[in-house]
Formats: sequence, C-alpha cells, structure tokens
Amino acid sequence: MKIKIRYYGQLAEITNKNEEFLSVNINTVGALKRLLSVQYPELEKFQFQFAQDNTIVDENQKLNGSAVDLLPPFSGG
Amino acid sequence: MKKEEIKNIFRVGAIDPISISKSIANHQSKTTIGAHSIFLGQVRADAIDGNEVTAIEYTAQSEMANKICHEIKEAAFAQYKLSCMHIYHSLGIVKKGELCFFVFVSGPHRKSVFKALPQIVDEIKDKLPIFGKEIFKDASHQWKINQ
Repeated sequence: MKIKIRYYGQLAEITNKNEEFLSVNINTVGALKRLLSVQYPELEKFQFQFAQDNTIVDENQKLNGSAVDLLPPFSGG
Repeated sequence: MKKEEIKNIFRVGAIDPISISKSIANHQSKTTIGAHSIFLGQVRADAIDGNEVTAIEYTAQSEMANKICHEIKEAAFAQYKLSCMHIYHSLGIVKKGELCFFVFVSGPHRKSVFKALPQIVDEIKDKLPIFGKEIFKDASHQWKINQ
C-alpha cells in the first residue's frame, strides 16, 4: 500500500520534509510508527500523535490508505 | 440555531484590529443580541536567556483544525444560549505585539457569553493541530509550548 505521510511542526524539521509517499506492507498505525522510528531514529525523542482522515488515532488503528499525519503537541493561540 | 457549514478559521499573517472593529459593527443589525465577549491572543515578546521572541510562525493541519473547531462551536451552541460566534487564527508570521487569535461570542445576555468564551478559547488551544514556532532576534527558534 502506498500512503502519504505528512509531518507537522517540529517533526517536519526532524524529518526535513513536510510530506512523503511510502510504499509499505503493514496494516496498522503502530507498525507505521515502528517503521518511521527506524527511518528517523530522532523521532523517538519527541512526543507526537497520529491522525488519519482528520481524526486522532491510536496505534491499533488500521491504515486505510488515507494520508497519515504526525502531529507534535499543539500550540495554537 | 441553524446548522452551520465548516468555516476556514485561518488567515495569513496577523489579524488586523480594524477587521475586529468591522466585525463588531456587523452585529449592529442583529438586534436580538445583548452581549458580546471577545478574546484576543497577542504575540508576546518573551525573553529567554537574553534572547527575545520577535515573531511566531504558525503552521497547522488546517483541514483537521477547521473540522475540530466546527465541533467545538456546535457543542458550545448546544450548551449555551448563543446567537453567533466568530473565530479566526493566524497562519504564517505574526510579529510581537500583533494579534494571532480572535474569538468573538455573542448572545442575548451576558451570562452565557461569559461562560462560553473561556471554554471555547481553551478547547481551541488544546484540540486544534496548530503549531507555533517562536522566532528570536538572532534568527534562532524554538517550538512554542502552551501553558
């Protein structure tokens, strides 16, 4: 499955990109998290959440092919 | 209260105080309103180790932020007796002293708007995927943490 990953805030700095497409052979957000932490070891130091279809999801969430967002702590206002 | 569509709360750059006074003026025709309450967020020139914040650069997952903001508004309309609500947040660079966040709540009486406003402001700060990068005088930066 090819999925778009979008990086926000400090995570865009860490990965040095705003988004990328990954061809993956995994089914869950948790598996994606493990895969990304191999690709970007620095991510382990940061707190972040995942979102899919504009909703925060936990690691058990199935990947459905929509873009997945990596969101650091919110700091609006 | 009729169902509203999802609105885009984001504006590029600082929020112009003149647009705020226009927004207030636009309510003069809505004569069931008896009370307005407004929150304005302003960029603070925090000093950290002698280095001063000169601006905040905001980015966001805008689609998600607009969706969640819509849900916060709908919940507030369901909970309190309100007539209307206007919310704007900046994207991109906002310099120190400029406004980055505008929440404007109106209702027939003061009590409902006094209660609704802080709840809406807090929920927006807690739940919307918006990210502030504090830019210092020497061009270094740090990522804003909400208190």
